[in-house]
Amino acid sequence: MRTLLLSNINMQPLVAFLKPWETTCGEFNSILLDLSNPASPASSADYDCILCLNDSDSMMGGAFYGEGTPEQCELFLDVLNSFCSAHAEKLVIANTFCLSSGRWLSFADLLHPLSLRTAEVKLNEGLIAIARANPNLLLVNTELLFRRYGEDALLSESFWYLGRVRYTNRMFRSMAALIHQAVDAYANRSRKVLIVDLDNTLWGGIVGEAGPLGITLSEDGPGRCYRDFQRALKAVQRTGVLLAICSKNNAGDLEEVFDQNPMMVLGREDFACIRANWEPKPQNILNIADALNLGIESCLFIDDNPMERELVRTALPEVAVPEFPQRIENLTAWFLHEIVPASFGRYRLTAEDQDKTRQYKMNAERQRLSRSLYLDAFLDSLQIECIFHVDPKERIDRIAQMTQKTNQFNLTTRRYQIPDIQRFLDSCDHAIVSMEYEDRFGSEGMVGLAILNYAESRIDSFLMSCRVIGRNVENRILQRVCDLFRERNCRAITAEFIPTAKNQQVATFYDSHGFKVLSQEEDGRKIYEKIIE
Amino acid sequence: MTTENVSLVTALVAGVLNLPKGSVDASASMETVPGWDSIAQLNICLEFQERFGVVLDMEGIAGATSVSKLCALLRN
Repeated sequence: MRTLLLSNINMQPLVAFLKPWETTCGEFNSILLDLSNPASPASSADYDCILCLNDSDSMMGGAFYGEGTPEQCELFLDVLNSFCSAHAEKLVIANTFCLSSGRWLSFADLLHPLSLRTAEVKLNEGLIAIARANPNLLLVNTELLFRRYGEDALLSESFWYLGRVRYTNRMFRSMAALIHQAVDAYANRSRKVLIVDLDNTLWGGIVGEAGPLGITLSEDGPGRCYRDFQRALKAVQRTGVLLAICSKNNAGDLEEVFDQNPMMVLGREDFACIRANWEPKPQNILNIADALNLGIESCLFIDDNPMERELVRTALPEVAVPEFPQRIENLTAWFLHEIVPASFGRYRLTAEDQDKTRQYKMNAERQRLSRSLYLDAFLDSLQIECIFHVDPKERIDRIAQMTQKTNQFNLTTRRYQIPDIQRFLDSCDHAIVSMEYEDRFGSEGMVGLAILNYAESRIDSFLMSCRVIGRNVENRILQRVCDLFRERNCRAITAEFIPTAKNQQVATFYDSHGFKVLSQEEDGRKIYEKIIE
Repeated sequence: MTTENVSLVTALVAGVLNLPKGSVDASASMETVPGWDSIAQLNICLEFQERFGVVLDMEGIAGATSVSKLCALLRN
């Protein structure tokens, strides 16, 4: 990413830590000018990411010492807002306001209406409002670093007064990591499945020996370490992460724990997939990924046993297998500090995320039913309803997310960020068609997507979530796409298939839907045409 | 100054300046090493603080412009 770093202080030391990004520093303390001047480098096409990292104390100016109002800060908010709306194509990253703890108002800071604390809360509210209105603005909560490591470790007075460098390398290093993680979360590059072991991971002790009530799991004492870990897993599950179990145990022993141990926070309904048996763990992990229709690179595996970890790392290098904390009292803090932001980061949650486990469970139900009926009868019995929307602006997050996450049923695999989608929505030469799916088991939310280029009579993107593959709904969205082209008097539609490692199942999709091959490249890419009446 | 400290400091300076390992020796200073300017000086001192767990004062940052002076800060 070509990045321009703007600040009101000397942030040059951050550049080295932001690698592999190519980062250029703007002029010292010219952030307001850079954002407001349309002829400045920030507005030019040279940069696709603008990083605005302000030091809040300095930006407060005299207001930090109780003189006047924080005008500069308010001005920054105005300028940031205009810049984000004027440059929807750029990713803009800004840090939240976070004032240092030294306050001239001392204890009156809490109650005084003009205190720094009050100003800080108000400014952050302003910043959040701008981020809600501008999908291309990514806010990074640098305050988290101060909470975790403390000012003494992160601020440096000598570098500040000597060279306008406010932070130590501890801060620059952590800040760069935080920004990288936030961008991964923003671009939906997080993992999707969290696979856990059972004994000495989800609870203490070995259930096969101690029995369902003899394991270490309680509200008080060391058993609380595991109970809190389960709470944290459940919280992360509600952000759209699928939980799965991979453990060497008798399935019956696990069932007894679920049925009998009242200290279990997680129930069997919280797991999208359970493999408790005596097969090698790499095999079970492959099975889990297969059952969920996801790749193993979507999986992270937590196990207390170093032998098992090494086995999985060697057999399946794509699966993330982090080290396990040495001391069990650190389990939950380790998970929340190290694992969640790095591998399961989220920036904007969609309704689909929060309902994910239920959707995968419904799928399992449907699969069970499909085995007992012939396909047509099965599909009829589902009573499928598809609802289409054209340019559903309010679903921009989900639209971008689908282009980024869909691998298998994806004809062109073009990955788009929110600013790209915004451009399509704003352009009258493009249309975005979404398909929502519902049947008698419930709603799957938005599962189908097509991006149409009217100017070129071309289907730019055509994709469907793997959850609804095999239910013939792809015909319905393709029909809707053809109807839209027809309404715009397009007579010949072109479409493409671009092969990837994952999308072989749609290699002949257009062939079997009345499209004719116009040309085929050496890399397997095919161009199609369809004449519509 | 111990040889161990010297090799740690020369490696640190080379790392911050993106120079090949071994291209910075015990006699290196701001005057002799290309790229060791005032901005690099701040970066070297920031890394020095972090690596050796010492807190530098303004005088230390402004004055320690050679490998030998950086090593002297470690001795104190």
